[in-house]
Amino acid sequence: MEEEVIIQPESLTNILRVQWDTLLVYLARPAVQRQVIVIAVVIMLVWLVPTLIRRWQSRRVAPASNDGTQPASSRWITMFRPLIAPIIGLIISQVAIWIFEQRGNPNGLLDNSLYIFWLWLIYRALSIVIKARFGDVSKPYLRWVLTPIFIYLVLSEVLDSIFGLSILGEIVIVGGVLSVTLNQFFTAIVVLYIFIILSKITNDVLTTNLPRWVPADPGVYNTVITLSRYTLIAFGIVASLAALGVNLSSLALVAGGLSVGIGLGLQDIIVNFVSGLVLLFEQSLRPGDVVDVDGKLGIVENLSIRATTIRDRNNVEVIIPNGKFTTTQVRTFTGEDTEVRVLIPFGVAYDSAPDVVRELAKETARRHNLVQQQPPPVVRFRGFGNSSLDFDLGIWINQPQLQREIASDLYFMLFKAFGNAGITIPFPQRDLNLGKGWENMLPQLEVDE
Amino acid sequence: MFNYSNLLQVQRIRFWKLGLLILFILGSTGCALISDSQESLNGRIILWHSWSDNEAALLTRIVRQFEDVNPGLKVIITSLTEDELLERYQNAVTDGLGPDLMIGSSEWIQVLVEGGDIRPLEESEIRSTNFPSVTIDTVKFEDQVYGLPLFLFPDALYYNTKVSNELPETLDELLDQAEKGNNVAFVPRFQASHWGLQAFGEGLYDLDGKFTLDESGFNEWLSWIDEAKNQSGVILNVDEKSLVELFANGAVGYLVGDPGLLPVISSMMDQEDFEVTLLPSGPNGDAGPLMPIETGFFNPASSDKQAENAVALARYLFSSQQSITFMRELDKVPANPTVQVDPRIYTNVVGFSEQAKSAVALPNDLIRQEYYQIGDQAYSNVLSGFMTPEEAVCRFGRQVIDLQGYEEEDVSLPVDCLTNEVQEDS
Repeated sequence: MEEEVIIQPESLTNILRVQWDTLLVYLARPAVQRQVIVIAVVIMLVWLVPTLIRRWQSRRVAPASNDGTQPASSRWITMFRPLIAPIIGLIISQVAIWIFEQRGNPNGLLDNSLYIFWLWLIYRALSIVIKARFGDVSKPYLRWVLTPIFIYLVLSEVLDSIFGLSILGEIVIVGGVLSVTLNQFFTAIVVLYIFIILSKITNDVLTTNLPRWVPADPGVYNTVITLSRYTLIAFGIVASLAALGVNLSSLALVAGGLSVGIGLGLQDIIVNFVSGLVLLFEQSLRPGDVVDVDGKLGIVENLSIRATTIRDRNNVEVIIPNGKFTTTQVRTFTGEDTEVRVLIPFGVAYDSAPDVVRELAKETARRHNLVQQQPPPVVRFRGFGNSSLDFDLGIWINQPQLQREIASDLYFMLFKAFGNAGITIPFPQRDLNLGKGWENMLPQLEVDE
Repeated sequence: MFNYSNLLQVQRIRFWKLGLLILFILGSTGCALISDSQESLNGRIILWHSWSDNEAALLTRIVRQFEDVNPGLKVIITSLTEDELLERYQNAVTDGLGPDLMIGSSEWIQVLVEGGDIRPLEESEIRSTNFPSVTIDTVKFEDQVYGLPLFLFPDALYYNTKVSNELPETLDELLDQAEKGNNVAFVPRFQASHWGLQAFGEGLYDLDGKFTLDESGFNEWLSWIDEAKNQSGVILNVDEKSLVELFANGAVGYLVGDPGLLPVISSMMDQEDFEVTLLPSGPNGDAGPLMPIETGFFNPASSDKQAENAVALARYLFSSQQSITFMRELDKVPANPTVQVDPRIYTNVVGFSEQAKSAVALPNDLIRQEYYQIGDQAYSNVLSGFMTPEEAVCRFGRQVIDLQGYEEEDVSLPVDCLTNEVQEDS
């Protein structure tokens, strides 16, 4: 009976083993060994020569002047030093290829290394130009965009020449109903990455330019920026699932079925997410708002889709889930406008003239530069206390986050002003009235002592 | 202040890392060398092919049997599409990579040899004297054999056993059959219809390899086709797929085709409803179809050990036992001359196998694709009435001379053809 041959998707371990075996087959060939050795030598020289140049430069080039600036020649060498390594790689590889061609030896791997050195040179040259043009601002873009492109191109070249991208790409890494090849997986990652980078770039561009393009409230900018970011990421996820070969309409059905379970399991996250959307659309909270949540005062730093970051008086960032803002009472000092009234209670001795006290307190308040002149400060006589005449100084300020600091300043100023005017600030006093016969108790007290 | 010693320390660490990486690469190379230097059949080799799923499954099974026989040997099999196999192979060999053994068409020999992408075989490796001359000529280039022939692909005549009662042995009988309603179909193009040249003449090249048109039979063959096209029951169409469909549904009784059509036809009609026989002969004798051969090619970049292993594997695939397995399960026509094709068992294969005996090998130094295009033009010029067969053959001859750069002493054109050339020039 004939043996039945069934071709099954290979496991990842098998695939890796096959690729490893393939590599060993290649390395056993003299034609490959010669090229590998030459490439190894080229890599060594590419590392060694720039290092020697750097050492030479550090010894020979004129030292920096007292103000820390380097001479022009040294600056140029420093700027273009990153190009030395790829240029050396290019030159040596080209010479090696020429020698191999003369001898009739296969030199495709050296050709590939030449291509990689070209890529490296272009990458470094572009980095230099972009950094020179845009400065340090460009560093994240180089890291997010240029470097991944460079790595992608190099990896593609290496993998294609050794194993063949078309062969690697067809390897099935996930079997079953949702069969995913390495090619699909990689494409999905790249698509998602592109959308994430796009969202970051959009975020930066809008943050920088939106206030110039459209005059509006900062909260609106934040809403637009946040929504555009999450929309792009959502599109990225959908596109990446499509790249994986997921049927989006069936995914919608599955998502519908799972929504109940997700709703229960991830209840808090979903509440916070929806609250975030409500806050963004309702504009009831914006970055810069001064709010009081559970008795804690702080400035809203950032509104994201799940949580809001608030910086408190101690410069501590507090991350509060958005659900808190929609389910509990939140005091905001910057809703319609930023002006708030602050009451500063104080008391003076009973022998003080209330009119004089009132004028002096109002005058003191007016002298503080953070106290609004309009509406003017007011002083209210609150009543007769146990040991003092009690007043409230009412002032208006437009920086509510500084109310405690301003109150403190005013207490200092009032203390000084009252002292200069001879008005005393009493402390609690208690009069003790003794009835008749207290004199008879003295001997007893002495015996006790 | 900049600490120079720290920089040096970092660089030293980088240096060691780089050194370790290079040592690893060289070490791997060394390991591969050690495993490669032993004498028995062991090590690893790579096999590339473009066979379809069923074929690939059988090939894998047979290769695994070969591994069982040689426990120290491992064969890495890679399947590629037919379109990319040649291109990928050429690119890989340029790098020193690629398979040690590739199964491909003998028609690639010219490009592969000129690119230095395949190595010639020694007589001890192939034992070429065992093969029929046409087989060995098909894999030869300038007196060197460049591959081990594995399976033959000559055209032959498929016929519907329900439609046809008597098999036509000559071209006249074939036309009689067509007239009786047993329709005849073939593709009127150079490669697919080359078989008729030999039936009328000596072929395009004489025994010395001289390009000769005056006795080739090309003129007569084109005349025959030109007349046959007007006869009822003869269907000439360049769309081979539609001809196969006509054959499968019984509208055509006779179809000229190669063994590559067998799986398609088998999937469309019952095995007992069709068979394969010899193409009809002509006034000059048997039909002479071209015969591409599935050939084992060997990578010149392979190490000696890998080359030895690859030849051993190719010979295992070529062996009588495995040739019979391929014939039994895939209807492959064995190139191994020692294999006896029993007509009672292999009713389809035997037709191709017999036809292979009168097949024709064109020289492998032809610039094949362009050559075939020029040949195709000759057929279409005649069938469209644009040229007479004589004119088409003359034009074909002159174009081939230009294409191949033949010297005068390498060519023999009909006298009329030379006269026409003078007239055209003037």
